[in-house]
Amino acid sequence: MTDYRKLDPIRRSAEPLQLDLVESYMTGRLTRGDFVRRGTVLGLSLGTLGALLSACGGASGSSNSAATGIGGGGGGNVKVKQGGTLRVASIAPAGPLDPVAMVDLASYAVVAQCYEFLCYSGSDLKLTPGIAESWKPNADGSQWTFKIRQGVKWQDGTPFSTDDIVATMERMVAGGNSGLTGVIESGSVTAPDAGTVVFNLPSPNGNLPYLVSSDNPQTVITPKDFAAGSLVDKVPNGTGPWKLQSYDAKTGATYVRNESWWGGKTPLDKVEWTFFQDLQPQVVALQSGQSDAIVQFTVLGGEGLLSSSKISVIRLQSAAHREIWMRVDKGQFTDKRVRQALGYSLDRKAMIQSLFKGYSDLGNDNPFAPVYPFTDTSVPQRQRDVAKAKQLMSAAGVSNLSATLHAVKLQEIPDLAVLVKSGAADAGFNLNVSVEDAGPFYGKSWCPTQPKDPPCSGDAELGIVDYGHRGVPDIFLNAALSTKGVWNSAQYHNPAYDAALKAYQGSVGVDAQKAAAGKIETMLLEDSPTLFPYFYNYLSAHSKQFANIEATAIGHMFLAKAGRV
Amino acid sequence: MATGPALPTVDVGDPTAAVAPVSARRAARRETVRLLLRRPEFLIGVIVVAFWVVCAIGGDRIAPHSADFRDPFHGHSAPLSNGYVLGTDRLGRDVLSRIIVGSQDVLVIAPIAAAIGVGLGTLLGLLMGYYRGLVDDVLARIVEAFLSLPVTLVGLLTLVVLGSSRTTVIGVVGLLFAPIVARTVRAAVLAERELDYVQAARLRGENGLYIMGREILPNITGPIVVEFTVRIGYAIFTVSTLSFLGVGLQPPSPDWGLQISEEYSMIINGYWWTVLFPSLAIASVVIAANLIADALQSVMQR
Repeated sequence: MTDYRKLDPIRRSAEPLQLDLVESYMTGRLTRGDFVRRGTVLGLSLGTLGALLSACGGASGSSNSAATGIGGGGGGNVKVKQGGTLRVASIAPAGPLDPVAMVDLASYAVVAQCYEFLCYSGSDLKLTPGIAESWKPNADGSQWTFKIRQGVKWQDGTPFSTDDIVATMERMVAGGNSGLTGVIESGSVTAPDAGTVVFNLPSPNGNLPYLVSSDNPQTVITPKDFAAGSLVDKVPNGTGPWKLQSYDAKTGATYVRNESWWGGKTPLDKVEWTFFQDLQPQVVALQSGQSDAIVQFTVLGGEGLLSSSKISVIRLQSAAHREIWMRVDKGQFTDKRVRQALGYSLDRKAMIQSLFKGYSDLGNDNPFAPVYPFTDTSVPQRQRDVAKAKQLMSAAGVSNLSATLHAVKLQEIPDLAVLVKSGAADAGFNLNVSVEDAGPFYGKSWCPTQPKDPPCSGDAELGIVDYGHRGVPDIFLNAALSTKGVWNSAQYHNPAYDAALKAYQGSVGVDAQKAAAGKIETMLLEDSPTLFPYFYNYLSAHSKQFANIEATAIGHMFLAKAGRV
Repeated sequence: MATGPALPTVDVGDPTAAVAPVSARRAARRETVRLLLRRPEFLIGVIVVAFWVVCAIGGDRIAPHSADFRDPFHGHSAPLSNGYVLGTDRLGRDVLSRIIVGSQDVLVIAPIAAAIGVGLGTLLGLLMGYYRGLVDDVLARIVEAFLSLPVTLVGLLTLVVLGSSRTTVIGVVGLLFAPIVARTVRAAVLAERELDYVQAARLRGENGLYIMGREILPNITGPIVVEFTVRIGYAIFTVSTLSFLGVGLQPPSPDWGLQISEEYSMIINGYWWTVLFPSLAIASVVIAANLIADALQSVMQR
């Protein structure tokens, strides 16, 4: 039963896009969870969302992790003891801790202990406040206004200001940030006063808050005088709950409590990160009590953690996935029927069972993961169909296609390559698997730096590359699939797709976003420049002696509320 | 160092020169075989190698499943469960079948690599030992330079640069073994070149190549055969190590070293069988090759 006496005052004060969201929920086009998720993006506070749910006849019950401004999986609000040290096991960062240029999950987690985001994207895709206390779009989503938290200080004593945010965003533009390229331009971000930052976008974007959240790890807010290329371990600073005390790229990092953090006193005194080269030593360290938490582990190799009574596992449904790219502009995959045939040869269910013991969602050869509320689930799921694959190969006039399948030596990817080869053989493909170390793979097979234009045009014709989780698929759609996208290893070029992407980015209403997503899903399924076999669950774990540890599917581990139980 | 018995020298111009040594060699070979068959270590080695040869030839035809067969719902099945004698790996592939089929790679790559190493090493050893002087000095320094480098490290770097394929692995391992063999052969040649039959050949006016190939080489086959057998064992070990390090054969090859590499990290979860059985397979072939080599060496030293 809708309580209009409660509802109407909220509706009257709502912005047009917020009103559209409320109407969508009231008419049953959105689930409760999707309504809350989308509401946080559009700047509705959790209190307002609770009131709206109550007015619409649902229990409010909306937990608010905004006390620390951090969202994620695990976590909770368990009462913990004051004091102590948490020892975290992690893969070593792959490169220098340059917040603009870093590209690996280990670096993201290390940097995000000290530096903060405007807002945080949790595993449930809800956005929670960080340095920004609130945000809201204008009527068409072309302007977003962020209200900035007061009382924030840099760890070196310098006062925090909105100029720091403007300078950070300028560095994102200059550095060609994969999430913000094409979304903001130089001069797009302004600070009209000490408590406000405004994003004036060249074209409407309904997902901007995600693109300046922890989902886009390079957007950590750094000081305005932070020179491009500076390393956070050389000039330790930040506004976050932890101060970097020591850092060694090979062995680990130590953090101590930031006594002047705006969020208050952390339960833990100290956090020690130990770096490892492989998963197994990390698993052993956690099982034997040498470590208290592990940032990420996989099912294959970490099964012992899943069944341990002493370990809490954080399982996050995510959009993390692998992409099998095929060059559409030259080579043997220019005919889309050949690409479709490879897609039909994949046994996705068997892959999920073999590689993840079921801890994964099926992929449908587009980046709209089941975790996204706006994914159009009416688009038919591509199933293994060898007869159809052979038929497509025959129609394309191709038989016994031989190619090298390049795969990076990372987690389950070599095994995925084996499964792709095995399935494809039934359809008439003869694939040779080439498992490569990260350096040669990313630098030579995937996206070589030369030739620069178009990006990625010197890559191999077939390969498998990894993508981490994002709260919205904009980076996957833009960087990996749009014309001249910085990670467009398939060299996919389709003006209709580019137009559909533009429409999707500009769609801010719920129905419009779902419709735009469905159009792209259908288009990518037809063109199949890149195959998406699955979206795996992100797994993190910690000892049950600790609580309130929060993880995100892009590799962060937030410890501001963590402590010993 | 086994150099083998010096064969009777032949008078210059003797019309029976070609006949006498041939019959003598045949008799020597028969005696060698007879002695070998009386040595238990040789018989054990041959039986083990023969077992793996049968596996390699039979391959998919005698294995319960093909090497690529997958049972996705029975990944990491323990031995003697779900119908898998040696269990399954993480992808649900039959460990027994992959070991049987994987023997093909071992029994093709290792002997060919060893043959290349022994062939090239013998050539170098003959040149160094026979000509001595400047040729020996230059080649010996090059050989010593190679010997100072760890075989596995050089193999690793070379395969990273050249890329990995069966041919490349064979070539790299063969080339890495050549200097080791060359040193052994050189020592044998140095002993032979001072014997009367070599002097006689020189007096006959034979050229160096003839003397090396027709006079000296037949008299140093003993150490060369032993060296070849020993190198097969080392080749198996080296190829498996390179596969373990990820630069040898590529997935989904059932190569034993690659199987261990793919599964060793799972031991902590209790999945020991995926590593133990391929390891035992490697050990059995290496030990068998060494048993044969020991027997050959003992017999040829008599």
